This record gives sequence, C-alpha cells and structure tokens, in this order.
Amino acid sequence: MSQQGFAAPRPEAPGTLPAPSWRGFGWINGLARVILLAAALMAGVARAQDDPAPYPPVLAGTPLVFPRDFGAHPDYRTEWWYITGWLRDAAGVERGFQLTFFRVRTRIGEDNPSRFAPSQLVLAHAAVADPATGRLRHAERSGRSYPGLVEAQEGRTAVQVDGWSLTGGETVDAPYHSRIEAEDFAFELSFTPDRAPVLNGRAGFSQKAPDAINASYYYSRPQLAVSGSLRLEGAAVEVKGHAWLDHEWSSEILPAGARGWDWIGINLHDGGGLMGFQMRNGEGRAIWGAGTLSDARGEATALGPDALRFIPLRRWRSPRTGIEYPVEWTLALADGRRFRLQPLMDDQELDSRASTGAIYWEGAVRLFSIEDGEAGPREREVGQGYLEMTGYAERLRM
Amino acid sequence: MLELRQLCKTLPGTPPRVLFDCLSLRVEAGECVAIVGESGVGKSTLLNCIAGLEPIDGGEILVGPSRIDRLDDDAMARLRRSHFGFVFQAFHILPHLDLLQNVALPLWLLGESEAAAVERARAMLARVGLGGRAGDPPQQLSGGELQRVAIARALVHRPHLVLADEPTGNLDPGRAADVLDLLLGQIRDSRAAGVLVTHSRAAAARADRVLELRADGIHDITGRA
Amino acid sequence: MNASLRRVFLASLLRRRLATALSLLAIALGVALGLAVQLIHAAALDEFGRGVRLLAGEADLQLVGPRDGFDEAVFVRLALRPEVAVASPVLEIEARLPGRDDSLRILGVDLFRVLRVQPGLVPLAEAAGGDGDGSEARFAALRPDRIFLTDDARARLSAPHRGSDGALQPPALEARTLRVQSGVTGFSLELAGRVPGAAGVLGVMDIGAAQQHFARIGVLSRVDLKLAEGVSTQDAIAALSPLLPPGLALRAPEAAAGEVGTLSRAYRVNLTMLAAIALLTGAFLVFSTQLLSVARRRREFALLRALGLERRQLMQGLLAEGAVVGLVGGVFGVALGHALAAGAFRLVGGDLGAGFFRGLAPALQFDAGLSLGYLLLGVLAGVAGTWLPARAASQVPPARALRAGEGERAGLPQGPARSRPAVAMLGLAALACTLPPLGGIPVGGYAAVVGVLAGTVLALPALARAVLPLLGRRRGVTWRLAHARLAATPGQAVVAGAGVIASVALAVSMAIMVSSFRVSVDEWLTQVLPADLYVRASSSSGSGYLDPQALARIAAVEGVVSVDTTRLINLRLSDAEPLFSVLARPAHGNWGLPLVSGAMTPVAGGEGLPPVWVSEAAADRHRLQRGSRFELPLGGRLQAFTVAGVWRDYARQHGAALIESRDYLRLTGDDRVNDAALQVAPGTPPAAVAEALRARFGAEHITVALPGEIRALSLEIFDRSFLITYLMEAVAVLIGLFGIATTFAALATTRQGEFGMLRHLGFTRAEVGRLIAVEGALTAGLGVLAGLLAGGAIAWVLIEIINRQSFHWSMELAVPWAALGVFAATLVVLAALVARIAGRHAMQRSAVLAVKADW
Repeated sequence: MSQQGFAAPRPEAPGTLPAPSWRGFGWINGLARVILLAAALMAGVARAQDDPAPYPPVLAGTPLVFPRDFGAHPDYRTEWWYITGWLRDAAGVERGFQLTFFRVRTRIGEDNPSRFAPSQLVLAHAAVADPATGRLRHAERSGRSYPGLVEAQEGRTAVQVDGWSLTGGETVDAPYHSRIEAEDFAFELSFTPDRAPVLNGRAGFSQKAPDAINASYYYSRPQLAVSGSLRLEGAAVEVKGHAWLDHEWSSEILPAGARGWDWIGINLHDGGGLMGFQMRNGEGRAIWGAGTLSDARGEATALGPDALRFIPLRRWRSPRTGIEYPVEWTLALADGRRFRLQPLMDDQELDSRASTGAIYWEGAVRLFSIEDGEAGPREREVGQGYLEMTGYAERLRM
Repeated sequence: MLELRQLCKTLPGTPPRVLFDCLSLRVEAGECVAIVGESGVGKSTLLNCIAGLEPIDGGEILVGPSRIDRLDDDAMARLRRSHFGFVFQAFHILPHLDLLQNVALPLWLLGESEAAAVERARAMLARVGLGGRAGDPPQQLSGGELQRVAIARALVHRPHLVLADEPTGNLDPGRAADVLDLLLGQIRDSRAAGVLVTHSRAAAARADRVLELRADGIHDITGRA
Repeated sequence: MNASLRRVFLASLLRRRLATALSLLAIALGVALGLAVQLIHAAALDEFGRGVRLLAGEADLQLVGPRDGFDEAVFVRLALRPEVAVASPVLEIEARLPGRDDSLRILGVDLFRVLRVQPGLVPLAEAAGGDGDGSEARFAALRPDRIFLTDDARARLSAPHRGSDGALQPPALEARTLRVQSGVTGFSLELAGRVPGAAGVLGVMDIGAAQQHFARIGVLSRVDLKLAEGVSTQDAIAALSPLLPPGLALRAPEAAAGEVGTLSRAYRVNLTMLAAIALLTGAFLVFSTQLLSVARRRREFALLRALGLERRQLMQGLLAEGAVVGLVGGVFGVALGHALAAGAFRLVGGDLGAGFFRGLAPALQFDAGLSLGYLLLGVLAGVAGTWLPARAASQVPPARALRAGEGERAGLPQGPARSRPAVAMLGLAALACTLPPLGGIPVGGYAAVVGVLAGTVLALPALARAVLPLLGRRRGVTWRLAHARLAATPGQAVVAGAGVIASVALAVSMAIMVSSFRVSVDEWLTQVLPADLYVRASSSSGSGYLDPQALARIAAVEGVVSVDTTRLINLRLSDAEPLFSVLARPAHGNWGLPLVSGAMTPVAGGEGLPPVWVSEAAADRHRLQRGSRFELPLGGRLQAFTVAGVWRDYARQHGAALIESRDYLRLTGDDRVNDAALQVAPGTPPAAVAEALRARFGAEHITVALPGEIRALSLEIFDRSFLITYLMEAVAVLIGLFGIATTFAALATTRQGEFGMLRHLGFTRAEVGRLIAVEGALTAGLGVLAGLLAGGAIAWVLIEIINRQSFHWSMELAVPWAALGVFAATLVVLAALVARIAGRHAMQRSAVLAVKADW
C-alpha cells in the first residue's frame, strides 16, 4: 500500500511554496468545526440583518510583523495558538502534552455594547499523554470573550479562558508561559525560544488546498525549551522538555471535499524542525499536502505538495470507539529520505464525545530515520514531536 | 264518663294477633277502675288506645258524651291536655323543672296565667303533702315523693279522666300503698274517672272495681282479687 | 380488649350512626383542612425548590442581590477566585408581553458557562434539517434575536390568555415569533428551540442579547457558582463575601426555597390555625356525642360494672370508641385533604390565592409522614373528646346508675356554674397578648385566641345564667319549658354549644378582621392614589418601564398638568431577610403617603442626610422612628438616610422605604421609572387623556388606569386572597351546626321518656317539634352570643397582635354589624331547624310509647 502510494505520480500543486498546515483543524474537526459551521450560519444571519464587517481575506505577500503578529487578529474568522511537546521529569519519565487556544469571530453582536456580546469566542484544549496512564488525560475550556476573564489580546500572545492562559511573545525572544488547571491534571510551563519564528508556506502565507482562497497566515516556533511543573495525581513534579508552537489565523480555511488530515510537528535532535501534513478526501487519498523543514538556525525549506508523502505502516483499533488509526507511518521525502513515525503509546485517541463530540488521535511520536545499510534498513531516532490524525471516525461511520 | 264500646285491636304481624275483640267498658265520674292481667295481655295498649295514642281497629271510645276515637292527632292532644291526666310507672318528672313547675306544666299547656297556674299548682302540691317543697328540684326526691308530684301533675288541671299505668311499679310495697291511696283519693275527690293498669292484685283491690283483661275478654273480678 | 367487650363498646358506635357519622365528619373536615393547607404548601414549596434546583443545576452557591439586578463587575472578581471553578452569570428578565397581562420569565445565560453549571438551562435548537446532536443548538443560542422556550412556556404563550378583566388576550407566540416588550417598545424574538431540561414557564436566551434587548447593559440578576474541588460552601462564603458590594449575598440555591417559605410562613400559620380550630370543633363534637352516649348507656355500664367489668376496662373501652371515631375520621380526612389540595391547585393555584408562588404548577404528592401526623391528630381529637365523658362514666357508682329515673338527667354537667376557671383563662389570654412574637410568629396571639375560646366555653354556663332571666318566661309553654331546661342545665348548653362557640368565634373574628382590613385597605388605596390617572409599562419587576423620553411624551399629552413618577426596586438588606422594597418618588406630589407617625417634612438637621419614609413593617423590623438613621444599599454602596416618618403599607409585607426621586437618581443614576401619576387639567375628562396616552404608546404597551379601577382591582385581589379563609369559616360553622345536630339527636333519644310524657300530657306533635327547635335556638343563641363575644375579642387579638406581629400592618377596627347580625340570626334559625330535624325521632310513635319502656 505504501509502495503503491509512493509510486503513484502526483500532480504538481500550483506554485512550489510549502502548503500550510491544517493542524489545529484536528480539534476543529471536533469542537471547533462545529463552531465554524455555526459561525458561518450565524454570519449569514448577521449579514442579512445589519451586515457587520466581513472577514478579511488571507492574501499572499502580506508580511508578518513580530511581535505584533504574536497577538490576536480578531477580524479574521479563526485563529489558534497550538503548543505540543515532550516533557521529562527528574525520574526520566517521558510524557507528551498538548495545549491549544482558539479564537473565533462569530460576527454576532458586534454592535452590542454588552460585555457579554458573543462576538469573539475563546476555546482552549489541553491533553497529557502519560504512558503510565495508558491513554490521554484531556480537558477543555471555552467562553465568549469577556474583559479580564476570557480574552485573546492583540499585540502579543495573551490568551486566556477562565483560569487557563498562554502569555508571551512581547518580543521575538520573549518566553511564553502557560497555566492549565483541569480536573485530573494541571501544568504550569514556560517555553523559551532560541530563534526567530519559522514562517510556513510563502513567507507565512500558507495555502491549504489547490484553491488559494483556502489559506492562512501561519508561523511555527520549533525547539522551544520547556520547564515548569506538571501535576497528574497528587503533587506536582518538575519537568523539562521541548515544544513546538504554531500560530495560525485565517478566514476561509477548509477546502471543499476534505475528509480528514494527518499532521506532524517534530523537533529534530539536530536542532531543526519538520512540519508536514496531508489532507485526505473521502476515499482516503491525499488531495493536498505540504511541509516545512527548518535547520537549527531556523532557516526553512518549504516542502511542496509532492515533496512529502505519508504512508500508513501499522494500524491500531481503539477499544472504546472501534476506530482504526494508522499509528505508525513511513514518511517519504521527495529527495529520497525516509522516516518512520512511532507513537509514544498506541492509545492517544481523544474521545470527547461527552463534551464536543469529537473523536480523533493526537499524540506524542518519535521520528526515526530509515537508512539502508548492508544488513538491511537501519533505524535511528532523529526527533520527537506530535502526530495528529483526524477524519477516521467519519470514514468508519460511512 | 268513659265508655268503650265494642273496642277491637289487632296487633300487626304474621299472623296478626287479636289483642281484644268487642271489648266494652264504662267508668263513671268519681269511680276508679283497676285493670289487671298477665304481662302482654294488652293492658297498656288498652290505656294507650283510650288516650288516643294508639289507633283502634273497631268500636267507639266516648269521653262524656263525645266520641274521641275519630279525632285527629292534634285534636286528640288538645283533648288530652284538658280532660286527661296521666301517672306513669317511671314518674316522668322533668329534672330541669322544680316541683311547682312540674305540677304547673298542664296548666301552662292550657295557657293559664302564670299567677293562676302557680296558685293552683301550689295548692295541688299541698294536697299531695309536698306543700313546703315547691321550689325543690326533683333530684332530691325519693321515688314515692316523685310519684306524688306526678299525681299532683295528673290532677292539677281537674281532668275528667286519669289514666295510670303501673303507678306503683317502681315503688316498694309500703310506699306503694300510700301512693295508691293518695292517687285514688285524689281521683275521687276531683270527681274524675280513673283507670289504673297494674298487675298488683293488692293495688287493684283498692279500686272501686277490678277488671281482669284476658285473651278471651274483660272480666269483672271485683272482690275476688 | 376482648371480642365481647369490643362488641359492647364499638358496636355502640354503629347503633348511633348519625351521631357517629357527624363526629367522624367533623374530625375528617378538621384533619382535611389542616392537611390540605400543609400539602398545598409543601407541594408548592417543593415545586418551587425543584425549580430552583433545576435552574441552579450543579451550582454550589448563588450570588443574589436586588431583584432589578446588580453591576456585573463583581462577576469577574468572583470568576477569577481560586475557590470558584465556574461562575455562570444570569440576567433574569420578567418580560412583559404586549397586550397581555401575564409575563414571561426570560433567563439571559452564557451558554458556555451554563453547560458546566446549570445543564438544565441548556437550550436545544430545532433548526430545520439540524443534525440533532445538540451541538448546533449551542451556537444558535448565541444569536441575538433567538429565544428558547420550555414546553410549558410554549404552550402557554401560543394560547390566548384570559386577562384579569376577563377579556381574552392574544397569543404572544405566533408563527415562531414571540412578541415581548422593553420599556414602552415591543419587539420580536424568534423561537429557536426548546429548553428540555427545565420546567415551568421559562425562556432562555443569550445573556449579551438579553442585556441589549432589555436595556440592562452591565447588569446581572444572579451569578451561580460551582466551587473548586475541596472548597466547602462555608469557606467559600467566608472568603468571597468580603468581595461583595453592599446589598449582594452568597447563599446556597436551596436557600431560595427557604426564603419563599419564610415569605408565606405567617399566612400559612394563619391557615393552619384555622384548621386547628376546625379540628378543635371536631373534638368538641366528639365530646358532645360521647357525653350523651355515655349518659344514655349509664345503666348498661352500671350493669357491666356490677357484673365485674373493671373501671379501667370501662374507661379503655370508651376511649377506644373515641379513638376509632378519630381514626376513621382521620382516614377520611387524609383522603379528603388530598382531594381538597388537588382541587385547590386547580382552582386557586399553589399559593391558596395569596400570590406567593405565582406561575407554579405544583403536583400533588402523597406525604406519608404528614398524612400519618394528621391521622394521629384525628385520633387524638377523638380520644381527647372522649376523655372526660369516659372518666365520668367510669366513676359513677353502679348502684346509683341502676336506679330508675336516672336516665333523663344522667351525664349532663350539673352543679353551680363556676366562673373562676373561665376568668383565669381569659386573664391568661390577656397576658399572652403581651408576649413578643417568636421567630416572626405571633405565638402569644395564638395562645390568646385559644385562651379566649377556652375561657368562653367555660364561661358559658355563667353566661346562660346571666342571660336567661333577661329573656323572660311569660310566654308559651314551649318557650317556658325550653327556657327552664336551659336555665336548669346550662351544662347542656356547653355540650351543644361548645362547637358553636368555637366556630362562631372563628367566623366572627375573621369577619371583623377581614372587614377592618378591607375598610382600611380601601381607605389606604384612596390615600395612596390621589392622582387622576396612573400609567405604567409593567408591574415593578417586569421589563416594561418608562424612561425620560417616554415621560416627556406623556407630559406632552394635552390635558396633562403634571407627571410624578415612582421607581420601585427590591433590595436585599441582609442575607437572612427577604427582599425589601424601595420606592423613589417625589414626597410631595401626585402620590399620597398614608403617614401613621412622623411628618412629610424632613427632620431639621438630620445630619444632612436625605429623608426616608419607612413603612410600618420596616419600622418594626429595623426599630425605626422619626429621626432614626437608616442605611440602604443603593448603587453598590450603603447610603444613609434620616427617617422622616412612618407610613402604612399594605402592599409590601416585608418592609418598604420611600425616598425622594431626586435622591435616588443622584445616588444610582437610574432614570427609569415604573409608574407615573398624572394630574389632569380641570375640565378634562381623565378617560380622554387615558385614550390619548394609549393612542400615543400603543394600548398593548402601557397600562393606563383610573384610581377607581386600581382600587377595584386591588380589592378584588384582596377578596380573592381571603377566599380560602371564607371557605374554612364556612366549614367551621358547618361543624358547629353538626354539634347542635348530634347533641339534639342524642338528646332526643335520651329524652324519649320526657317527650313521650309531654305527648301524653297533651302536647301536639308540632309542639314537641317546636320545643326541640326552641331549645336548639336557645342553645345556639347562647353559643352564638358567646361566640360573638369571643369573636370580638379574638378579632381584636387578630388585628392588634397577630396581624401586627405577622404582617406588621395596622388597621382600623370596623365591625360589620349588619352582616354579623344576619349571620347570628341565620345561625340561630339554622340551629333550630337542625335541632328539629335531629329530634324528629322524638316525635315518632315509638317515642310516644316509650314512657312505658323504662328499661
């Protein structure tokens, strides 16, 4: 199957710039997808009534300016700050974690002087992958923006919803701080960058589909040094590690016909970073894909739609939902390099049917390079990061 | 004064019981007739028929010259109040009236003025030997004394006919004789006719005539008692 | 008790079926009334509590304040506290429905927080082609012109509404469009779906939209708090309360039900007292019938005693009779109580017409504990009623009772009437009047009522002795006989009349109290409504209001000379107290103020504080008088005032204060008003101005009323709220008449010999009947007289002690002489009739012949 996929000739995408990441859409597929749908619905109504300002389009060639663009862009429909990473405590136990803040502009109540007007929503999601637990702990918060309580501020990274927050980005070098307090876990972490943001796609203009209207502004911050504390049960433990931050905002992002996607963000041991994704249609075939390979200094190489291919290697069936996920992949770069993705643990399925209805897989993975040696292929761990797989539940339902 | 002609009375039931058939009787003013007989033979019923409290099935009852057996309930009541006097075995002295009031009761009923009623009642009480106790409540009296009050009440309005049903039935023999003498004396004094129902032969013996009521009719047994 | 004895005693109940049935009925009624009051209240409170719990969801604490809401600034302060897991803000709107006089309670909620705190309020969209998984609904709920209705609300609003004037008002919801009103303007909301988790007439919409639509920007009514894990409510209250501005309080959601319970407590206790008097009357009735039955069976008992029955066994047997009557009556009463409660829900609603639980549709529930309690009360009444007769019977020497001639007088209380216990009882009642209330309940007042009743019953023989000579005896023989009997045995009057006394006293006192109240309210209404015309957009808590623009438009109407306004808000003075009303209006102007003390002029000096006039309830609760300092939490601060006067207020039981409009505006900046009082130019008919106002604002958006109409409506509400009291009075009087009936039925049997003798003596059938009727009338007349006297005294206690202490309002005494006269006369006639009917047995042939049958 992988051979077949690898061998199949692929049409050139328009342009050679790296395609944007869909990441975050994994979550949108669950909770946020609904918001987007509703927002579109509401936008229609709002338009019919008093026509608030439209969502601005995402245009190529618009330069990203920092630290301004670390902050929120409330005019755009959706925006997210997405952090994934690996943590290691004093005992050497490795765990993955994930933290996302979403902002959605609803175009509802923009003329309403009430502070409760639901014109901007902020949603947050956090998860910890602990091999000892065997599955994910996750929690979420959401709310309409309300001064002092639920906010996505402009000019720097400052998002909060109820007690959860992510702040930082006052300067290009400034660290980020996050604080999450959920029912069965909590963490308080600092993320320190060592390089300037890596712009994805065409200088931060990230195309999401063959049609350039589906695009976002998108930059990543790989190799963030993490330190802080993590509480799973009982006392908090000191942890250190590395993380990856994505910040992306857009107005028209979902391409038509997309069923799901697979995304990775890997901090390479050599100090570089690898971002890649593919978007699948209803038959499970990739309709668009792209990536960004950056070195230890942050110099980025865009990977076009055909420069990176995802080949499923091993599947795992969730005992809870019965959904089958390809938890191991072979990654093939157009230059011939091959990698294997191996999960920290198989069960990193996110089953939030009780709250948002979303079911997907998002977890910590190790990246191995596959080198052909004399005694067959030799593997070497070259990085750690996160893999996100969405749209498998729907296919199952069909 | 009192005349019963061909009086018939049948008690309803299955089969109906003929109590008396064509019973005739005459009692003159100032005369006291005692009726004796076995229990259940119909002595009291006879008395009730005379008083108009029970209907008769045939015959005539006359008081003086008038037939009373065809009178309606209210007319009969009016007749009783002016012409009849009653003495009961159980005295029936009203406990909530004093002796004078108890005696005055028939006079009240006849609409007599208070003053006249009191005067006559007082005189009557004196005649039965209770003159000094007019204001006493009945509760303080013995059975014999109570029956004296009853006799006073029965005669205070000068009735033409006095009916007494076992007047000494509730009294001990000594008292009974006194009371009976008083009753008969008073009836004679007031020129009334008296009918006395009793099953005491001793009591009956003091009457002017003694009649025995039997299933086969009424028989004069005066002197044989 | 062995089987044969059971036959002796209990079978006796069957032999006197009428008396037993009436006693049973009386107990059943007493039990039923008391139980019904409790059931209705419990069901209403339960329903209210359930509603509160449902709406509060998983909230551990609620932040509550003035009914009109409070500044939302405190919301963020609480939400960010570590003790608080989630804070869910709620804006509650009593939305006026244009053209209808009911309203819709709309909760403006934050969807995201409701999900975590009050799942019962989560709306469910009915979007066309919706996928039905509920997610779409959550976001449709953010749309500003959408509303979600409970099924109850939907049913109610789509139907025409019967207005208070009886006219049919249009549906508020038509074609998924709901018409509501803010200020004096109507607007539409689109029905977007249901609120499946909530019950009652309720709408849910977005909180931001609610603030905007109803012009409540920056205002919240409530914040429901879910506490962080491991934080106790006590700790949270201790930690958070210092953060609250004056006038706000944190409390457990259940406390709301308790507060409503407090609100209606005095009213409820009043009703329970009425039921207790009904039960007491029932016990009197058992007493009467048992006493007479015991009298009739004296020989039977004497015989049994002579045959070896122990005194204790006799007593037990008789008590068992009473207990059986009480038990059966109690069972009937419990069933009847439930039926009554069910009927009351249907007819007058769960508040018994008092307006405490408006809009609730409580369901009747069987409460085993409560039912058992009332059943036991029934048994207790039966046993208590039998106690004295049973004791008397067991103490009679058998030999005496066996004697002939005892029958007629046996068992009736004899001997001289002793007035000392009566005087002592009345003295105690007077003393009880001086006691202060206990927890807001006028315990002393109720004790005084019981004392007056008991004292009057005890004084009845003496009363009979005193009154009878005045009646004269120079009349017909029946009169003389009846008179003599009553004079000689006043005890019989007690037996027959005790029930009459209790019920008449109850009815008379309530009549006097209600009449006084009504006259005072009428007078008060005249005083507080001196203007020519009144305009309001909705009742005080509703979403309709008048703002300066609307007032200017009113003033511009031709013929309007002056416009004075009232702003009514409800504050929370402390955690423990129910809402306190503040009226802001010009002290001098088109509104009247019925002062009972103090003056309309502010206190000279007065520390330079603005003046406040407080209602009697406020003065009582807070111990205020002219010159006192009184603080009110206005505009988020405690504001001090100087009391200038105390006024009479029948509208707000829990206290009200009146301040000058300009002071209110200065302190709060709130320029909306609830009511406007208009002076119309002489010569202009107020009705014409009313028409012009309706034309200007739309008749469905404002209510324009002439003072006469308001007065009529107020009095109608007044009368409705006393409906249940009238009903209970009627029942009590009925039970009193039962007393006459049972007594005379029993007497007729006991006195067969007497009546038979009288018939022999020449009484006609009719005269015997008349005798019984006259005796009944005399007995009842005495009972009624005593009841009138006791009723007068109790009315005084009700007015001066119980009302004063329960509701804190004073009133002028107004005795409805004519009505009382008619009532008393009717009762006497009825009693005569009832006695006559009950005694018909005495006129039968068998009775006539009974002179012979002397056992």
